[in-house]
Amino acid sequence: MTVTESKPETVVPDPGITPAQPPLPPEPAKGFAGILGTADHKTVGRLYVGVSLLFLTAFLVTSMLVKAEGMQQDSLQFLNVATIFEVQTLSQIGVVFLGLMPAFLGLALFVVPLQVGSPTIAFPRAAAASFWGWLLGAGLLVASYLGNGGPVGANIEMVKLFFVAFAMVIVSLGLASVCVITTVATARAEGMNLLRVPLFSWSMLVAGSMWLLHSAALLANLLIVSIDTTHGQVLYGDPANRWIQLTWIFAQPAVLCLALPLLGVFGDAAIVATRIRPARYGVSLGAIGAVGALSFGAYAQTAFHPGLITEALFVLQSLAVVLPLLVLLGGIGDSVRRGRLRVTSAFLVSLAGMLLLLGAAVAGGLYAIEPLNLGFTVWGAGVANAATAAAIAGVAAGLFHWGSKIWGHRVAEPIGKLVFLVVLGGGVLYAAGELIAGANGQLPVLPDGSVENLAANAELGALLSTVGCGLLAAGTLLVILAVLPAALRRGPKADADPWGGQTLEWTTSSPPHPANFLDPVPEVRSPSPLLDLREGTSKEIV
Amino acid sequence: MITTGAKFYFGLGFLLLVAAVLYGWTSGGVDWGLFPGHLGDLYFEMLGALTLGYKGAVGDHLGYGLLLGAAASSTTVGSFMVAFRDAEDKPLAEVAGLRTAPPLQRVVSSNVWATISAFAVAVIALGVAISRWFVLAGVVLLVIAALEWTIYAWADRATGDPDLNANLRDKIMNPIEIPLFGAIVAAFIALSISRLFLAIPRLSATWLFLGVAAVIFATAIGLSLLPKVPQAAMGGLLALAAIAVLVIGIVGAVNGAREFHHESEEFTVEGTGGPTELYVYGQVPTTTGASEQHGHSEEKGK
Repeated sequence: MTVTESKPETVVPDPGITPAQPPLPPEPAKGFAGILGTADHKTVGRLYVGVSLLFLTAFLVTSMLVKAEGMQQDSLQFLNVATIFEVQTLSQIGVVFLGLMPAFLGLALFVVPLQVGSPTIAFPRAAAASFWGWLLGAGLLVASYLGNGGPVGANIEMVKLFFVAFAMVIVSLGLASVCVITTVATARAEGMNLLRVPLFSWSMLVAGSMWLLHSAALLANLLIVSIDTTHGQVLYGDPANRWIQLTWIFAQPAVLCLALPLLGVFGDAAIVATRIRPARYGVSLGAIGAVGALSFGAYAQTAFHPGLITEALFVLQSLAVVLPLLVLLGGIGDSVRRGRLRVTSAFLVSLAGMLLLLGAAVAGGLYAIEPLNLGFTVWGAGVANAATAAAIAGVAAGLFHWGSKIWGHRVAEPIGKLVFLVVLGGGVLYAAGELIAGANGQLPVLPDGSVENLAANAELGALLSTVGCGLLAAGTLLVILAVLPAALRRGPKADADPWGGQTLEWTTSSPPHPANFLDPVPEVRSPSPLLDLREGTSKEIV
Repeated sequence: MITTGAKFYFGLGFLLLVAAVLYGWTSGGVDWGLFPGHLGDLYFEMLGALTLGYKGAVGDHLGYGLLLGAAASSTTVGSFMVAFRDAEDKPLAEVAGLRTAPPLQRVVSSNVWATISAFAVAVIALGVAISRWFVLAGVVLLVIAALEWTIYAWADRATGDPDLNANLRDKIMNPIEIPLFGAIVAAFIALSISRLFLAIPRLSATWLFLGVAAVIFATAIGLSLLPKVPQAAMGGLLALAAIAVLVIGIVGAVNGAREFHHESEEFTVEGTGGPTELYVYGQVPTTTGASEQHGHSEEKGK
């Protein structure tokens, strides 16, 4: 046995030593092998964005089919009673978990490390694993539906596959959220305290935290339902009860946190559009944080406690969430008034998203007012639809804002103006249809495909929702059309900073080098480090 | 000092805690009918949600528990934010005794183990629904992927030189990977070829594999005569061979084994004094006319 006789020397670091820059990474492998083995957050982000846009379009189309069936309540046109509920659940899961959340996470995986001045994402291989896990989970999820599974299918093996695949999707997205949160929390450039973090990165920190809190509860729900489904189907696993235990994630208030990254996209796009230093930056950060906190909805599980929607907490929360949204809009409005507004597509589309989100919050507030008798009607679906449309606008705006940085070629900016009109119009109709039907007392479709309490104006509501959903699908296709040439490396090359941006991602080339920043990242002294450099000022702003 | 990140998480935690108490009071934890006549009783009812259920009811357990759990999670994250001062570079450098914090590690080397891990999890997911053999295969794959991932993660940070890091990884893993890979390839070839042997007539098998051996031998001679063989061409040739072996195995397995005619090797055992026992190849010994099928190996052992 070796005995250490003397105490090893403790190396005291020299306070004067400045560590050397780490060597540049090797050139990443190209082709399919390069994609399969990548640990580059930019490639993973692009993969997430590309695939999720395709999923989003596809599931908006299936959602439109479901809505269209409501236009003639006495007969079904495209689906049948056995499948309508299944397609509806698939559309809901598809739009949220295979479309919007991964699209935002893809944007974040690409943009957040650049915004905070980091050469990489935290846990790069975990980020890559999250993408492949999500993609394979999504494939299994869709396969489970095709095999007569889903939450209420007849093939019990495929029902089990649905639960496991859905859990896999949730865990994968949670893993990507952890990578993004950790990057914002631990990989910021010198001088960038959390009060100087760009708004999108901050919104992803808030959104990622809320998504993780929700994911844990949703996974617990899935576990309980799947265990009872496998062992006796006594209560939780009864086909009539399975789906309703999972619906809280698509309902108020949890559904609002789906659109949280929109707040950051809007903030960053507005700063670029107004071309002035953001005022009262801390208030904007606080407002985004407050919207996040007020959208916590894992407790609001009406399947277990139907009376919840009349209780004080739910009502207060539903009403209060409007306030921080107004604060954020007011702050940006003030910047628009003081600045020299340049109407970019990103600003317009994100503004449409903000208006839709505000609409969702207001409609959610009304839902919580008991005397209006909106509880458990499809009014709740209207709130969710408005929030979903807002999130779609957020993804679209993000791609118009950072598309040129992501692909290195310019994104077709004029299409963005059209996207603004289509998404805003689509979102309004998509929500209005359900709100009208809900105001008339229309109840949602039951797991057996039947509809109780057919309300007057329900068919009109379904028509509006169908048109709205179709417009949103068209808007998503337009976004794909706008970014496709850039993604295929066609069209004019983009400059490093096409907008006169104020945050660090605009200091590096478009697309960025594998190491992100070849030159040293400037010390951050305010939320607008590039503006500081241009103005030659180093004064403390915050 | 309470940092910005900690303020967010503490604020969120506090809000969720207040929400939990409020929810506990309003979801059945307190009988509000006691107000205002029985304020003393009301006070004791309100203690339930305030004391995590120790002194009374908390209303809807699920919602109360979730809100409380979320509050605890948020507060814990906030505590980490305080402890690490929002991970700002200046405190970090101070602790490390440096003027500025070391730059972050840049992107790591490319490898497929993250993808394979995801694939392994998908196989497990499929197995949970369909067959436990898939679960087993997925777990084995996941263990291998986890080992490789761990070693890659260590090697990427071993030194500042990516080439040296790659060499270090290879020195550790190659002695494990190469024999294991060889064993897997050998098993794969043996399994595939044996399927073909079992499927085709005995004589045809002899001639076929004489032919195959001749082709391999001729190809090897041909390659040895070439001054230089491109790596891609060699890889392509081996890939084609692997696909051919795989196809052979699948075709053989699908067609099934040919009919086997076992020769009966009947003999008697003498000297027992009792009734004559009949030993038949492939059957356990019984008295005449009551034989019972049994395993091959058991028979051989007798």
